Amino acid sequence: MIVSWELFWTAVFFASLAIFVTISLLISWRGFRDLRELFARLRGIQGRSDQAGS
Amino acid sequence: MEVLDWLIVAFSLGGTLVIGYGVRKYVGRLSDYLVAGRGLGVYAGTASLVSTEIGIITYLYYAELGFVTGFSCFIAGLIVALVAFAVGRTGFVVARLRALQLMTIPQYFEVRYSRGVRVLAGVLMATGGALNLGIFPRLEASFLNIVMGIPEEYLVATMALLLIIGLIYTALGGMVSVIVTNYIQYLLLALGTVTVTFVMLGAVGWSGITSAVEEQLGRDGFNPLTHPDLGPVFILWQLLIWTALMTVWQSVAMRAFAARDTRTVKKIFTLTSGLFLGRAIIPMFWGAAALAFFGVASKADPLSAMPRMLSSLLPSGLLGLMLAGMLAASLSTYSGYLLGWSSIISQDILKPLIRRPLGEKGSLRLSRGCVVGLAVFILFWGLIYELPGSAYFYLQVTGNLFLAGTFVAIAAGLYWDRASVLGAYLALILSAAGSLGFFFLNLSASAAGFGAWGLSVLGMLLGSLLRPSWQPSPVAEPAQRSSAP
Repeated sequence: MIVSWELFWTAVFFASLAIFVTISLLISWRGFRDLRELFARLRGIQGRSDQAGS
Repeated sequence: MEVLDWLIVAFSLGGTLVIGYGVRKYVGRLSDYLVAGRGLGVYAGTASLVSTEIGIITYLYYAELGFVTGFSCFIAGLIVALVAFAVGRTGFVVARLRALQLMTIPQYFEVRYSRGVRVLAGVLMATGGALNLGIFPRLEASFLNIVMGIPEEYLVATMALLLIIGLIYTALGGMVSVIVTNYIQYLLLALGTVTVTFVMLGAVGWSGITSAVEEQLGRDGFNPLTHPDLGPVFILWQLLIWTALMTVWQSVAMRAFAARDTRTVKKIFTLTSGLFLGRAIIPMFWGAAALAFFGVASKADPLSAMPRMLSSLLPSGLLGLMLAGMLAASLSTYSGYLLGWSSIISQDILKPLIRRPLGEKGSLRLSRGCVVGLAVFILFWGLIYELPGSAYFYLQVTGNLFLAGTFVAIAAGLYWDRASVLGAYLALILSAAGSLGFFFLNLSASAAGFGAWGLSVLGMLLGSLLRPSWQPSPVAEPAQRSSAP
């Protein structure tokens, strides 16, 4: 029984490490683009409220 | 700790602070401050959600579990990932809440039930959240002192410094600076986590760890069903509490509120499930590695075993990198949590009680004031409170003060037209009463947790059947129009 649990947790550990690395790489690449879009959006909102105020 | 390590830590902290401070110019309205103008994308959203929910304390309590229970506790990591994946695929609760254009969780209670329910939920959430956050600075400062070789008498100074840095960019830039700094902090955190894991695998070895667990914990170190601290009751409770944590925990829900639309929300939670698996399993592995490194017989304190191993295992340079990642993790947690809980205090307790319009500037001032007030409270709570047992169980029980009731009242409100104001009141009050059994009746964490859930469901059913409302769930705004806050 110990052997089967051990094998199972070994698979879970290495799979979780691989998934963590893969998604982290994806975030480092695509997250930067998301932030640029967020700032563009906030600048747009600010520009519209400035126009409305003037 | 060598000069190189101090330089790495100082550079990463300083850089994050400057960037966090620099983005404050984008915060003009309350919705920019609290939910970043609802412009959060999938990847920055995932980074923000995960780095808010990972702090030094996460590594500490999971490593403590790994040290005490071996591989058996990995089951908790699997449950978290499973629940997050299910929420992501179905959008259960979070997609509907996002579509309602909310800024805080208790806000839903006023939309669906009444202002009184909102204030009660706000009080319970702020209390549970502040008590939960209250042990973070002390445990984390203790970790930092061990790893950095700082004498124990400087504990308060380390605690205060941690909070002050987190406070500066949270109070200034709100959710916008939280999201930007979370992204940078996530990258540091992920790099540090993966590097340290490989160093541990190289130093102790996978087979060395499994042999140590087998030798010192026996069959219970592998089988979660037979371990005395875990077992079927623990597994069921974890399923319940993680369903609530992934849907109605304020700092998690705020990422859903800040997302561009409901599709983005679902994608964020699906990606998060993969990272939450690593968030649990990797530090648990560190704890099991510490067990192999020190052994139970060495009488190593389960909570400090992992940091002691790190300080003796990591070479200069790598220690600095790991610390930069850990500090980044903690600061992102402070900023996310300070913003999350203080937004409830300002928006859901104080604002409804003030009963006069504050305007955008007044609301922003109130929110920032609450962030500072909360930080002062948790600094003092950390100094006076002694943990009654495992940090993991304390955190779950304080969270459960409001989680069961909040989840039941929100899920019933969203999916059951008959859910009523009386049902919501009873669900919230009975859930809190059940959780208090841990503190005042010496119930186990699992028993108190189950009690809270059972009482909460019972309260909602009884209250709603005795005095039904027959009020349909509020109509959600279409996702396409969700950009307007």
